[in-house]
Amino acid sequence: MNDAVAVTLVGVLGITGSLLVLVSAIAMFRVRDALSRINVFSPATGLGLPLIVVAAFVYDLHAEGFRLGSLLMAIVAVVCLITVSSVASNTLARASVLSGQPIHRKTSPNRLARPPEGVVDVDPDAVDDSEHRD
Amino acid sequence: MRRLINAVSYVCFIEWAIIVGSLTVASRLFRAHRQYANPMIVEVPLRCVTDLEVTLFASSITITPGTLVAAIASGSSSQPPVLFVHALFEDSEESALEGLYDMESRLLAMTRGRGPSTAAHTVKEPDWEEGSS
Amino acid sequence: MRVVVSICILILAAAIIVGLMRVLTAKDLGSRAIVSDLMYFAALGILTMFGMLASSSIVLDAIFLASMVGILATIALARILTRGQR
Repeated sequence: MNDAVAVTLVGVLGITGSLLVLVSAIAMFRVRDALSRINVFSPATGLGLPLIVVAAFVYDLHAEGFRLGSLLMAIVAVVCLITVSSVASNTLARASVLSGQPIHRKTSPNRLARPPEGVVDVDPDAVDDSEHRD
Repeated sequence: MRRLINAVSYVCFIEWAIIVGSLTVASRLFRAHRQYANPMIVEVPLRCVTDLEVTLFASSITITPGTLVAAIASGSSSQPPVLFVHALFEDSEESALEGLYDMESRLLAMTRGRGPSTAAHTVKEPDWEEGSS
Repeated sequence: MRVVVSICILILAAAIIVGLMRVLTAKDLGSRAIVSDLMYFAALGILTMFGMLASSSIVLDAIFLASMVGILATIALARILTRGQR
């Protein structure tokens, strides 16, 4: 692989991946609550970081030649990023719902806005309004 | 062999969904005059039964940009397990549920080797008034 | 190589700065947790780019290990949010 091809590939993959991370960061400004922020974070870990890993693999291919270990590490890193970040987002979303972080009031329909199991509420609508009004 | 083909096509489907969702997140940034997102939390009764299917389905939903699993209610003998999905970019509840059931059908075709026999709309909505676990 | 890697570092640094401004303006703890997660991954990208800039041979090893243990910080923050309950 000659020099120009390697630089072009690393540039395209790396800059696209970095831009996706930046897009996630800017999108966190535009949405209003914690759940939506966890939601718009998945472009960064699902597509941006894997592209950076591929760029690193192309660089490694260019600098050191083909090694089976590098290919294996790159594949495992991509699979780990996708699955592990998905599980982490699940856990964080569940924790943020359970700990009562405010949910944006324009979330409709909100199927989670009901009192928890075993709690007797005479007027569920009033409770929902006071709890989830941001 | 059939399941292998289904698994490969499912992985390709997830990758395509990630790319399309990322482009949606990015392109919505440039529409300054309109509202950025339309958040909603929908309730999805599942046709998945085993732990592996539910876990795979929850991870697939979360890694797709625009949808996120917020809570999981476990199923019992009379009720299916229920996911509460936070969706950002869907227009209505019906379109959100339609996309999720499409993904679930592909997932079940991978894990069971054939498509699900019951259609999505025959799954009963769980009745929360009568006390569920 | 030096130019494109520098551009990538600049973009990722801009992402970190945007995230820090979000931490300053956001009120709730869940937003701060997810912004810290974003900053972890952006710092991972910057580390990779610095490895390329310095012609290091362990670029892939670093990103491989960091992607596997990246879940631990998020899980710890989630546990802190729920005050130790599961």
